[in-house]
Amino acid sequence: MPSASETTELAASWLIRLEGPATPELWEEFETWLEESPRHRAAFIRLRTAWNRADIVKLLRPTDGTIDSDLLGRLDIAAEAQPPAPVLRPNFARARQQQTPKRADTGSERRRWLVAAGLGCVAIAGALYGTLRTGGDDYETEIGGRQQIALSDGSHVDLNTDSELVVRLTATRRDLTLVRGEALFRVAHDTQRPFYVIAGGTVVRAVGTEFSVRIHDDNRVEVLVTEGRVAVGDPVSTVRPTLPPSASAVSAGERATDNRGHVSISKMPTTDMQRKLAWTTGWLLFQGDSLDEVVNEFNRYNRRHLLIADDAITHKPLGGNFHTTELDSFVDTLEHSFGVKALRAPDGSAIRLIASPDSPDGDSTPEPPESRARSTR
Amino acid sequence: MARNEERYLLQALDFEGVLRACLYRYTRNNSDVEELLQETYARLLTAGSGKEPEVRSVRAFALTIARNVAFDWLRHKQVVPIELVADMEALDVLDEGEQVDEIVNGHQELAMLVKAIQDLPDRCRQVFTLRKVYGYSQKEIAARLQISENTVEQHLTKAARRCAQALFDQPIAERKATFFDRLRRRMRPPHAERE
Repeated sequence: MPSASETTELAASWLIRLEGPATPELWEEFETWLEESPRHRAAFIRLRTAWNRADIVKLLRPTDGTIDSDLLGRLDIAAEAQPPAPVLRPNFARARQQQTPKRADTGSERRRWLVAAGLGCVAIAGALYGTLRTGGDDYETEIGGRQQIALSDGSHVDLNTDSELVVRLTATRRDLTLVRGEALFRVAHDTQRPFYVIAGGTVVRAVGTEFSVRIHDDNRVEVLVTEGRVAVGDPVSTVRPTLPPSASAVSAGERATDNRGHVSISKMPTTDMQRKLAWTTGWLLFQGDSLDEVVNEFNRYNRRHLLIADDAITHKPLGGNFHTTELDSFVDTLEHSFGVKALRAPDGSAIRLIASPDSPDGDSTPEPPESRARSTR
Repeated sequence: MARNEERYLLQALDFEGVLRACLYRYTRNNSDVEELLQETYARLLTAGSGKEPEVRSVRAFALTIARNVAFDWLRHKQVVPIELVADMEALDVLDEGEQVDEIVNGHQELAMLVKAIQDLPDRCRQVFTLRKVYGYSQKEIAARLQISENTVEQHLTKAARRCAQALFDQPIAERKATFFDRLRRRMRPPHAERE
């Protein structure tokens, strides 16, 4: 049996090797090592936890953009063994009393870092919980982009706008990590190799089925199942995401939303689901959605952003079919049919929407022009 | 509700110093402590994936496991010095009673890390700084410092071990003076070599 120190060294070495680009073979080698003994896994988890927590040093990065590899070497942090400066702390009177006179030299600079550290650590602690960034094939789309990916196992993935997906296929598993954005998965049937999608803290397991996964801006993860059945839940382990038997089963025609570990499932009519997935054909379909929702959707696909600058129109319902990236034609339609006026910034960066003075109550037809009412599937 | 099988292990990391102090009482040398600690962690991991009801005090649970690991080890060695047995009897009662507040705030954690990194050789420290403070990839670091990617890996491996040591294996004195602190100082020279 290798000594504890050798095991620790190996665990650290795996941790670092897998940070870079890794081949599927390397991953299999790693997983074999990991399975050999719980001591290997325990040592690896210990190292990985420390390595993730060490990300806290990011707070020391100067904001002026300079790069200095000797930054930590010259930092006199040992002299600052006191709590951070009191100014920003809640129990501030007490902290002030405890404050000892500071050395005059670089004290204030150091203190500034440390105050930032005190405030930042809470946020960081949350962000650090995460799986090891895996090696594998990395796919990324730009804003307004879309990519169709054919995987070697016969599965297909549609990657929506501004999304990133890491794919790792091994002999025993298919692991896909949705780093951000949205994707539709058509999974080739293979009972020997479960298909896992990891999105934030959520794991979806499938064998052969079709479903989409979207990470919302507020980190909610939404799963729509159009065919077959999947299991949705939070991973049992961060080394190799697997699902507990208690994970929620989600069937075709259902939507699951995972909001920080709380999974809720609801039925969704087929037509609604088709509208939600119309992006796979390059379209956005709306039916009675409020203007702010519609604007949010368009903003995902376009660098030029729409802003609602008038509360009166925020919740105005509208419907219609639009190409995801044809922003101007959407804005034209808004102006012609929905009682909205568009104010374009001179630099072309943003378009502000206000109620049109011509139709004070915005009492226009909620139906789009006939030519736009097209089926998408 | 999903239970993370790593939960006991992850919590135990925060009082690794206490576990080490406990194990040191039986082994009296640091390299054996390393062995027994790793075994303790492995058993905590296994316990976390079992179906048993949730443990109420992870600390008491982890200390019990550490003690069992130590007893197994002593039995295996088939030598139990008399003085050790006396020591065990005298000290065991105290473990559960001592609920030490060891919550380290982010500020202290950062300071501990930076101090530990400052003790690393210059090159190793620079590689760590570029990776963790500035977020450079291993490849970029290699290009910038004109060293091989393999060397970058070696430096980061060393730095990762040092980070784990700094964060988990803290002499308890640095956090808060406690019974264990005094115990530990008595049981082990303050600058005992490890690794």
